Order: sequence, then structure tokens, then C-alpha cells
Amino acid sequence: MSDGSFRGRKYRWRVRSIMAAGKQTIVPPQSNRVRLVVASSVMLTFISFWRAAAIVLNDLGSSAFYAGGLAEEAVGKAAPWFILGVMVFAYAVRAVYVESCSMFTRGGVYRIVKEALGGTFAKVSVSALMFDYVLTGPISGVSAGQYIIGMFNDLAAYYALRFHWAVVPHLRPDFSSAGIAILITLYFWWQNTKGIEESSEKALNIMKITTVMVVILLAWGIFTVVHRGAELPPLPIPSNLHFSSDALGFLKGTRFAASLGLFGVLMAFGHSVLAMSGEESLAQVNREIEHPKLKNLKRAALVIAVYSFMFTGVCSMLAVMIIPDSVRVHVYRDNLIAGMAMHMAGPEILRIIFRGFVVVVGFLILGGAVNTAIVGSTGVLMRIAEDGVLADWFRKPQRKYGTSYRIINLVAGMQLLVIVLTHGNVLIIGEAYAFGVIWSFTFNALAMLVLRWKFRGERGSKVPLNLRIGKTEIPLGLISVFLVLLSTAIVNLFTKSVATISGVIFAGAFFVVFTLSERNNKKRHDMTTRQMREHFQLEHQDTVGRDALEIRPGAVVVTMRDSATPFALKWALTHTNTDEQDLVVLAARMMGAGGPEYVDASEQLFSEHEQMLFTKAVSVAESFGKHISLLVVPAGDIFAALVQTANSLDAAAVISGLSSKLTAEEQAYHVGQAWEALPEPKRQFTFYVIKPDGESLSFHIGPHAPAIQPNEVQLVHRLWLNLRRAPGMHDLHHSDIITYALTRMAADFAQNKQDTLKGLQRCIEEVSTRRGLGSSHYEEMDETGPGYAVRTPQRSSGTKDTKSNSD
Amino acid sequence: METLTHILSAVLVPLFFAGMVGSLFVVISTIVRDLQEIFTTDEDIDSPDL
Repeated sequence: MSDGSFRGRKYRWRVRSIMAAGKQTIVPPQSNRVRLVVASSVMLTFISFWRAAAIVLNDLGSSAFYAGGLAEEAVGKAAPWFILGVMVFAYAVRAVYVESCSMFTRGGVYRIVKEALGGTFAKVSVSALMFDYVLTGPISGVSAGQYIIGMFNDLAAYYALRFHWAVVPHLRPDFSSAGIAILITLYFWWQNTKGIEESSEKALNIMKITTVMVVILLAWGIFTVVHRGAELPPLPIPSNLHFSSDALGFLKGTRFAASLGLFGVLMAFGHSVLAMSGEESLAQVNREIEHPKLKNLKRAALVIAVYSFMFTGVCSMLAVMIIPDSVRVHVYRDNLIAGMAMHMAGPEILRIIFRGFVVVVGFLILGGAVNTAIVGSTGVLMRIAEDGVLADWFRKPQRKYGTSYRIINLVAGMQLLVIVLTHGNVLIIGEAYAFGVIWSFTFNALAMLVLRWKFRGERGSKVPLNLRIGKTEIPLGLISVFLVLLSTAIVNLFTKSVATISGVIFAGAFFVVFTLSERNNKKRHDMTTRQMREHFQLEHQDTVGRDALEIRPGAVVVTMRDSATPFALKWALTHTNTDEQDLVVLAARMMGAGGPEYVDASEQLFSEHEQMLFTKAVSVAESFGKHISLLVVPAGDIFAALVQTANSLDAAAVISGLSSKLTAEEQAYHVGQAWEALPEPKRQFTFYVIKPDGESLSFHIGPHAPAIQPNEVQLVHRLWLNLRRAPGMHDLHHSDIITYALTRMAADFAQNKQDTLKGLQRCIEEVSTRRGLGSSHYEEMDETGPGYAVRTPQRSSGTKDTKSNSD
Repeated sequence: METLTHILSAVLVPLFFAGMVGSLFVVISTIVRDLQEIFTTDEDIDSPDL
């Protein structure tokens, strides 16, 4: 089939503005090159500050389950004061993150440090961050195991005593917890390999149930303290600090260790920084926060601060006041909250039930933290892979699920290795974990400090306490936060020997891998970019629009993920007359949790996989003799990206291949949900799902006239014939019958919801039996090609939107 | 090691406590400022992006 429009566009000089780079480029005439538009803005869905806070608290709050016990083991009974101090100081660290997020929507460590200190420092800082993330999984998994095994052993001992069992069942807490951590890690490894759906809803639900536990814990704990007249922990002064042998690290055996003085306070603070691990998640979640972004970010930060202060800070304090000294560290160090539950004032049965609740909540939140660790570290590695710092080999998508499985395997493999090597010892993992936490914060604060001089533009927010002398502004607040972080990080190098050795080896190894990988990649990427420029007419656009692609309204958008299976594109080319309808092949670049919010045109690197994908798309189109346009959009959620792109392009149809993990109906449901979330104005479109054998299913997205079967039309007609015979019914129309039936149904539904639903359910069953599976979804193709709205393109009024569905 | 730790102690302890005092001011003023901003009406100005 000929394609005049394509020929007409060849051999043309074009001056195009590269919006992201803010400069004009003159593109010389190129022949036989297909236009490839690369969008810079990531297609995201946005969440409320409550959900954002819930996501961060899933990570930050989980540390409450182990931070108190570990800190007391290291510094003695005064530990809760340091935990409280860390939780207060965390708000200052949060202020640094808010400032960085007000400058860069995703103001995480890598982006900030790269901007301020360059690529080498960015690689060092991201190596420390990776150490933090990789250890988040094992410590959370093992801690979840400790709560479960602790409860099992206590219950077994209780019942053995009560029922005079000859043998008391007892599991070794460390090995058994390591086993549970391995199972949790493997579970989330597989979920992430399949492509877990990032859900703020799940995070919010976990935080709701955690809040119930925290409220009971605080209320019951305060009652117990008042009831028993318990005393506060000893004040955090040098004479009250009793460091364990391990907590002295390299200072062990020195004369200095015998008289630490105020240096001991600094050491104790360093042993408690674990309590604020998870703060980095705030920068990651920022890009997803809804408008007004900065204000909502501050709201989320305040919610997080209050919550973590009450949960991690106050609960650690109550734990020391409630649990007797004889068992607190000895028995409950790794499951401190369970210890609190068992030593509350009240009947034993209530305490056991509450402990069970604590274990369930702990399992949920700590299990969630394992997932956050995998998602977060995968996101960070994906981010640097996109920058060309990690080899392309890691970016290759999984054949069936399309996920970055090699990165996921690497992360999960490292986490499993940590669990095995440490035999599930929370103390060792926790000590090492603090290394990554404190150094990534320190690098971030240092970079922000440098940016105060390097970047003099406006910021949405600034860390307060800025002294202005003439034209010079001295950021006293930011310097203060940096000094605390730096001094703590340096002291930790001396007092946390395991962390220092393992952290330096790990971060060093990652740094070497990143550096070599980047060097190796540079040549290859230069070649790929050159080839891409030779074969495609690259256009970088800030946002997606019809003008950029030079297409008409009512186009057909085809998604393409794998160059080996272009069956959706072939189907689209078969059924589309490209003289009348433009065809756009859409490739989404999935941006994980650590992905950027905006991919600068000059920073976009095409992987070999993407190059193969585009080349295949063009060769398939050429084999049909039809013209296509190529579009790349960065996306946070594939369905949101799909509907946003379709809407921006005024598309009449979207065509996708059948997913390997979702049914066609489920795909359509997700597309429908994403369409519902779109702001007005928005237009309806037809969504086609193409099976590998070429079979197609169509779904109308948005409000639309339902597909009425011939027998249903017959029924309406028979009713019309019968009713029209009645007196006064001469003016009756078929539509009146439908209006009456619908009005009656609405009235019935208002009066008796359940009966209406039951009746409707029976109707659905009867109709499905009659129709046969999926047969109602076929849509007869006519000469106009895909997209029911193509003949009368129109936008919805936005006044009478009903539930988006697929029928 | 003894000399190094003494030097570190002499340098880091004042830095840490000075930083802590400054950070405390940061926390107080940030909380006050955030509360003021959060409980006032929404202004539709968003953060600049680089």
C-alpha cells in the first residue's frame, strides 16, 4: 500500500527546537529515516501526601522494630535518649531533602551529588547508598523472622510448662530467622521479576494497621508506666554510657576507650543513626506527590516526623521503662516490641494476643521493607544504567515479563549472600547497615552545601538559619546538619569495625564496577547513538503532542516491547490504512522507583535492546509498505503512560499485545482505571488486545454506548410492538423503553441495593452462558480501521462521565 | 591509634556539638515555618526545576 504522506515528508530541511536542552538545532535533510520522537517528561500518576508518607514510613517505621534493641546493646540503658535525639535530628536531615527536592523533583543522592560534585563522587555516594539498600532487605527480613521465631519459642515453652511436655520445642532464632528472611527475599525477588505493581494503596493499608498497633502500644505502654511508677532511662551523659565490646570497634583495647568523655556521646549517637534509615525514600517518592508538590512534600515530611518520633522514639523509651533489665537485651534485643507486649500491665491472655498482633504487623511492615529494598536498589541501579554507568547487559528486559531481571537478580543475590554470611545475626547486619545510611546522608548534605554556592538560582525551599553578610549568604543551618552527619560518619568508621570493613569493600567494589562499566559503555553508547542518528530522525520533545509527530487526530497507537514478538504491530498494520489514519509505535521506558522525573535530551542513551526494537518496528512497517512514527516516553506506570499518550495524541485506538501476566480483560481494566484518573479534557478510545495467534479483543475505554446484541435489540423491538398496542402509546419509541427500564433499575437500586445486585448477577451469568467466553468482545472491522471514534472525533464534555469500563 | 583518636576527639566533638545546636535551631524553625505554611491556604506556586 502506498503512503503518500510519508513520501511527502521526505527530503525536508527542518529546524526544531530542542526544548529540554533549550537550544535550536538545524537538522540537515535526511532520507529514508523514520521520525523517532523521544519525550522527556515522565508519564506519572500522582499520589496524596498521606500515601507518600505511608510509603516512606513503611521503610522508616520498620526500623522501630530493631533499632532500639541494637542501640541498647551497643551503648547501654541510656540508648532511648539517643534514639529520640536521632528522631529529632532527622527533621533537620529531612529539611535538607526538602531543599534538594525543591530543586530537582527527584532530589536523591545520585542526582544531587552528580550535579554538585561530579560523576566520581556521585558513583561513590551511590555505592554507599547501594550498601544501605542491599542491607535494608536482610535486616528487615531477619528482624521479621526474629519476631516470628521469638513468639514460637515463647509459646512452645509456655505450653510445654503448662501441659508438662517431655521435650520443649525450640528453634535457633538466628538460623531460623535467616531461613525466614531467605523465604521473604525469594518471594519478593520472584514478585519483582514478574513485575510487582507499585501500590501506594498497599503501603497505606499497612500503615493503617501499624497505626492501630502503635496507638495501642503507646496507650497501654503509658498506662503500664504510670501504673507501675516506672522510671525514665538514665540521662545521656558520659557516665551513663556503657559500651559493649563490639561497640568500641577499633578503639577496643586503647587507653582512649577507658575515658571517652563527650566523645562517648558522639559514639552513642553514631550507634543510634539506624533509627532514621529510610529517609532517602522521601526523595524517591517526591516525584509522585500531587500538586501543590512542595507543600504536600512538607506535609508528608511532618507526618513522617511525628509518626517516627512517636513510634521509634517514644516506643524505644517505653520499652526500657517496661521490660525488666534482666530480659530486655538478653531475650528481647531483636524483638523489642514483642517484649513490650509481653510485659504490659494486664491479663496474660491479652498480652499474648497483642504480641501476636505485633508479630503480624511486624511481618507486614518488615516484609514490605524487604520489597522496598529490592525496588529501591533496582531503581537506583536502573537510574545509573540509564546514565551509562552500568553495562547495557543489566538493562535487558526479561523475555516474558519485561522487567529488568538481571538487576533484580543481582540485588536479591547480594541480599541472600548477606543473610547467609551473617547467619541472620541482626547485630552484624545492623552495624553494617548504619554505614550506608550515614554516608549517603553525609554525601547528600555535602552536595547541597556545594550547590548553595554553585547553583544560585531560586529554590522552592531552603534549610533555615541563613546568615546574610552583604551579598554573601552563609548557610549556617545546612553547615550544622552537615557537621553532625560528617562527625558521626567519621566516628562510626572507628567504632563500627564490621561496618567499616564490609562497607569499604562493598562500596569500593561497586565503585570499581561502575567506573569500569562506564568506561566500557562510553564507546558502545557513542556507536549506538551514531547508529540511531543514522537510521532515525531523532526529535527530543519536552511533552508528547501531535505536532511533534506531525500526525492527524484519531491516530492509532501501538505498544511494542519486544522486537522478537511484533504481532500487535503486524495486526495494526494489517487493519490500518495509513493514508487515512496515522500509526504511532510507542515504546515506554520504565522508570523504576529510583528513576528520574525528567530525562534530559542530552542524557538519553539508547540501549541495544531499544535500538533493536525500533529497527524491527521499521522493518515490519516497510514489509507492509506503510509509514509509522516512533515515540519513546519515559513512564512510571505503563497503563498511565499509555492513556496519557493516547490522550495527548488525540488517538482513536490503542493496540497492545497480550500481556504474559495479565488477561486481556485485566489489561483493559487497568487501562480503564488509568483513563478514569486522567484529568479533563479527555477522549474515549478503543483498546485492542492482540493475542500471539492474531486473535483480537476490543474494549471501549471511557463512557460509550454499550454493545447491544441482536437478541437484545429483538427484545426491545418485541416490547415496543406489544406496548404500542396499548392506548396512548402511539408516540412510543424504542429509546423510551430503554429509558424506562434504566430509570426503573436506578429506582430499584436506590431502594434495594442487594436484590438489584443479585438480579444483575443472575443476568450476567445467563448472558455469559449464552454468549460463550469472550465472544462479545469481538468487534467487526470495517474499512475505517481501528477506533470507533475515528469517524467522529470528539472530546468528552466532562459533565456526565460515568465509570470507565470495558465491555 | 591513641594519638589519632585524641586528635579526632579534639576536632570532632566541638564540631558535633556545634552542629547539634545549629541543627536544633533548624528543626525548631523548620517545624514553625512548615506548620505556618501547611495550615495556610494553598498557593499555586510550585517548585522550580533545573
